[in-house]
Amino acid sequence: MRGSSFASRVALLLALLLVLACALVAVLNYLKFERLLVAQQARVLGIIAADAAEGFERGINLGVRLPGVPGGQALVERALASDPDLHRALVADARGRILFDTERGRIGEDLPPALAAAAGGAATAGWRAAPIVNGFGQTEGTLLLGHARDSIRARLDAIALGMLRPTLLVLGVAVPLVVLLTFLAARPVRRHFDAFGQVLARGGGGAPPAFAALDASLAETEALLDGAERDLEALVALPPGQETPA
Amino acid sequence: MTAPVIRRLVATLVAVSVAMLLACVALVSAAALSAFEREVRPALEQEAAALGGVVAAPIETAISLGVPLDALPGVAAYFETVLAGRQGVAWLVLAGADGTPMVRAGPRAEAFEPAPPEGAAARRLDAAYDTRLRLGPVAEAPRAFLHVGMSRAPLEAAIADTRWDVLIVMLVGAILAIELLRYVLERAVTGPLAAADRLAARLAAGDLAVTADDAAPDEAGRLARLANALARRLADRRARLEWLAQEVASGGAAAARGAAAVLARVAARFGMGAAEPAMPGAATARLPLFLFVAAEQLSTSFIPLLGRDLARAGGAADPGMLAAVAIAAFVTAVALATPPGGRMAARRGPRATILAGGVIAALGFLGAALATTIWGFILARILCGVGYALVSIACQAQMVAVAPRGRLAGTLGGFTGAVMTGAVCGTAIGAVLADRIGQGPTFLVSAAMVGLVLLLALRGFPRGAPATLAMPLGLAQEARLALRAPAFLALLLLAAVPAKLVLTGFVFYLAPIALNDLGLSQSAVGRYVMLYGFCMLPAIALGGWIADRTRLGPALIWGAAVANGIALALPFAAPLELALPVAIAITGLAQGLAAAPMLAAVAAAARPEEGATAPVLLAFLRLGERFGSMLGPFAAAALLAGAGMGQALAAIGVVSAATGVVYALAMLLRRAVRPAIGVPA
Repeated sequence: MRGSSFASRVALLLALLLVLACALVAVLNYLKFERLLVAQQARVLGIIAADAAEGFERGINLGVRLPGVPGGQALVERALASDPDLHRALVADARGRILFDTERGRIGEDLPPALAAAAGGAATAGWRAAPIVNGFGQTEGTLLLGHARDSIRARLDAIALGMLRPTLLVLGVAVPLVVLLTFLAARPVRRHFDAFGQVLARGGGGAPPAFAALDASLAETEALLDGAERDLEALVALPPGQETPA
Repeated sequence: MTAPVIRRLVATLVAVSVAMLLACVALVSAAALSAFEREVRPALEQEAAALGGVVAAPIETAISLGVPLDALPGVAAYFETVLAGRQGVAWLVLAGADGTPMVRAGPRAEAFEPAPPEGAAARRLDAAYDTRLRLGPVAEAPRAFLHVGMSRAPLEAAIADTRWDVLIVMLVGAILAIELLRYVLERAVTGPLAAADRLAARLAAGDLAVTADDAAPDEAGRLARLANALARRLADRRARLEWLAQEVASGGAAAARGAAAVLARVAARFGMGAAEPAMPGAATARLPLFLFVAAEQLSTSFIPLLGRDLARAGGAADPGMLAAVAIAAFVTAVALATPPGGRMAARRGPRATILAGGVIAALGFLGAALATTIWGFILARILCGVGYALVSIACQAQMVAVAPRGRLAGTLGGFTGAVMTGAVCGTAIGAVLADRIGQGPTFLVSAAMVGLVLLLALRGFPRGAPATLAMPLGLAQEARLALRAPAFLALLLLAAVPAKLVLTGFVFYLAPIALNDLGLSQSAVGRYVMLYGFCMLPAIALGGWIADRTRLGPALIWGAAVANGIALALPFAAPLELALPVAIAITGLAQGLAAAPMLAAVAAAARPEEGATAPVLLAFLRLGERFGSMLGPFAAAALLAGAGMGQALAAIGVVSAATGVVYALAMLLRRAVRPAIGVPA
């Protein structure tokens, strides 16, 4: 029997399953690693923010108000320098006025709404806040660290590449192999289909043992029809009025 | 004629697909984990450097003021203060200029190995990644070194967690491959070959009216075309005989009699049967059912947690109870929608029922994904429950309709198999998905899977209602009949209802909350909850095997209840993180072992002469089980709020064990009474 085969559908299905499973594993792993790296970065930022805020708190505890903390600008500059993913560090007072900022031109401005929300404790993408609290437990202001995800992105890209190459290699070997194995596994069934078809086509020749009974039954049916046809043709050939042979 | 060759094909393809899938996933995962470890190390070193910078600052100040290192007071106490509440730091070590440790602190400080001054700034030790910072003026030789050790334990825990997730993907992939293969092979090979077998047998028997569906482009279609051609050729020959007979008959009465005799000989062999209908196989219902159950179970491991969070966000006084309402509302909706679902399947057919149920469930999943209040979430879960009832009853009806004669039990066994494998896959992969993409988007994945179910139903379910489907009895009638069978009542109240109470109260409600409160990741919670279905699957088969060959069926039923009770006492004997998964696994094993004996007990309790047939009792048993499922979360939530986790688990365990013992006594009593009154046991 020639033409398309069920084996093609099965092979396509299995190949798709392989691709899907590998893609699923890669995507799930990628998402998990992204979460872990983001958490890692959050911990680093937490250390930097806590350290810088503590610096301001030490200054306040000496008896000065937040705007007058000695070396305040140096503290935010040092915080900014401590991690390459940081792009800005600033301190705002409790009313939202910027007191120290690595972008010095903004000192004295009010915090924009998004940063004001971050300073108020709301989760804001790209910003990490740490409250600056005086010795009486009152919040004097907030330290805000603006951060990017460049290093995370670079690491995730490296992880993705690290997964992509072996995945393509594995699929490059596995997909042809699974197609080959499927066609090999399907051969007995295709032969079975062929043999069945041969019996139904009544093409002659010996039927395989599995179809011997069906072949004999169909042959018996054909023989019955042949006999009946011969008998009727014999009757047609008889002259009118003659006795029938049947 | 075709069975052995098909069995070989299925076995080979399953082996090939599972082996290839496992190999591919394992290789890709190994590469992913290796890439992750390679990339996470610099991140850990960055954290160490940040922490080291903070810790080193006062020491640097002291050094710059000329304080000798060995005269620095309180360094150890300072290190302990820094380390307090900071997880993941293995050690802080102050070393002299020659690398000799002077002050050590931290949970793994004893594992620190001194490093020569000229060594690398970062190195990997067994317990931690060690990062070294030099202390002293940059222009001068270092006066001292500060070592910060970042523990490898969190990284190793993350890698172990990921490995488990990969195993889950492997398991789900393998089961999905088997289900899809079953579906494709039935449509492309098994079904057409079986149809061709039947068709050929009918042709050989002289039924020339049969035809096969020859639309398929592959071997099946070609075989069908050959069969149809043979049928046409034989029919043509028969038509020619009839024409010849008419010719003969025109030659006189005697010739007509002769021709009639010949035709009678042929007619004795040839009959005119009905056309062979293109009947789909059970796989057309099994795959949609599997996918639907998996879609529903994606959220099993986090429903109580999400419900509790939504209730808390809304300021509810008792968030735990509202979370229980979310679970109970689903089960109640399933219970209430099942009888009308059965009537709909009988009147409108499985296709209309599954389409209606699928659309309702998809709306429910969308609603759950978008819900911002607990009441919105509960409403969405009610829709999901109605959808679940309609889809499952439609698939069951479709399986009954296409079951080969005499193989109804086997086909319905496929129904249970699809539900259980779907539950295992859904619970496990759902937790992994929720861990990665969040709980809301996981509901969207469920909705997308239901969309796939609808497509499969449109393609595979025939239109109209099959003639074989009987209209189900009404609830009142079922209850009246069930109440007349005392053995059945005992089974229902003392075994079936408590079992479901344990399932929903413990496995679906208390366990996820307790595991989450232990700080386990969402995927770990899902893995542990999945243990229930995972252990239950083989236990169902084993229970059936034991019940068929021994008389231990009743013992398995009460034994399972007692085992459940003992399992729930485990938290008193072992730490929760060990006791909970073991208890879940024992619950799955016990309930799996008891499943088949319970069905056998239902059949034995039937009184067909009074109308309490096995199907009627079975339907009522399912209803009773759903009542138990509804009760479970409420009981668990009330116990949790009033007495705490340990007492709540113990109380549910006591109920299970006590009902099991009472059931055992009832069975003993029944056995003792029956011979006395002359009733055969």
